[in-house]
Amino acid sequence: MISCRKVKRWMIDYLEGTLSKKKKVLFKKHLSKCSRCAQEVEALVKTQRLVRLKAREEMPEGFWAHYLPRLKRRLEEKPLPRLEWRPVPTLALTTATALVLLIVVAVSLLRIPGLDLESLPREVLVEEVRASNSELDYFIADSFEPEEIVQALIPQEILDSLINSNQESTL
Amino acid sequence: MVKDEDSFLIGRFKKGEESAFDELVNRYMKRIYYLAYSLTSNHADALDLSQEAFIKVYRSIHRFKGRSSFYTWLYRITVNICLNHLKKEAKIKEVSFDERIEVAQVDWWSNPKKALENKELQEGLTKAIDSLPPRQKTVFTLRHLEGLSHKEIASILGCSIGNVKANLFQALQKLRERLKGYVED
Repeated sequence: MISCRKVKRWMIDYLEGTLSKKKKVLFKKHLSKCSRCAQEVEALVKTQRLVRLKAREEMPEGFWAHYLPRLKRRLEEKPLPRLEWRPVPTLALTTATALVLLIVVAVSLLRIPGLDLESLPREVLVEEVRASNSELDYFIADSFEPEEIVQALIPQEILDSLINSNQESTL
Repeated sequence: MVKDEDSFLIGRFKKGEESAFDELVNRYMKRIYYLAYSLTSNHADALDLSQEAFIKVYRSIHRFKGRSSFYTWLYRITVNICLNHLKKEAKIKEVSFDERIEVAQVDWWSNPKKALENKELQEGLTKAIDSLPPRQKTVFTLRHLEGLSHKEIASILGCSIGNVKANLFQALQKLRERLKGYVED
């Protein structure tokens, strides 16, 4: 006898009448022995029949007469963007935006008052930066080693000045 | 046949014939509007989002290579626009499935006409379908309200047929819970 789990897996095909003859025999054999599955099938059959009774609220014909003219007006209001003027490919632009965002996230993290940057291991800082934006993680995870991220994106002098300003603000 | 006519219209539109785009809109506006309405349950949103889908088609028709049928492509655009809108507006609210729709026991399926006209039943069905999570609601709508095949839905959503069936099963189970008052004897 097939398992209850298999019955669930075959359920949609059974309900929609697309289960093969052989599987249908096994399916029904299971139902004859398992009252729980039999009850579930019966309830789902009824549910499916019931939801098919959902009526669609028809819109009046006048509504459709105005649909295209309205769409045309919207098209005129929003002219086609001139793609040929873009100086860089979309992917490069996205990459640049992502990197700028990463720096912003890193800088905002570094400005947290009271954060002792000198005692914070670089890997922890990197992980913090990366955890701040999962999309960036996804974007750059294959391109950089974790240690390289802060190193590559935030020059040491900026990092030093941020550490100094952070120390001043906590004094 | 429909696919051939669509390809012909798309070819004309790509050559700059605006009237071919108009014909495509007239051909699909009702289906796209009702699809958007099924997903948003709001007429103003359905109008806005369905038109947004046609605007996207207008702007990116050059990217349509005809590998899938035009309506699959159009449905995919519409579904994506509607799902993004729902996410943005946080319109999908998880409804506790303890909260069941209580109704009088009536054998609706023996009288479909009466069922279609029954306000209480129709409101109950709308509420139950609206309470589904976005993905399940989309799959359910495309299958049961739009009548698309599993293969077409998988193509629109960019997932496997198995995934479509799993979502349909979960949706039906949730609807069964929500509509217990109608379903149980």
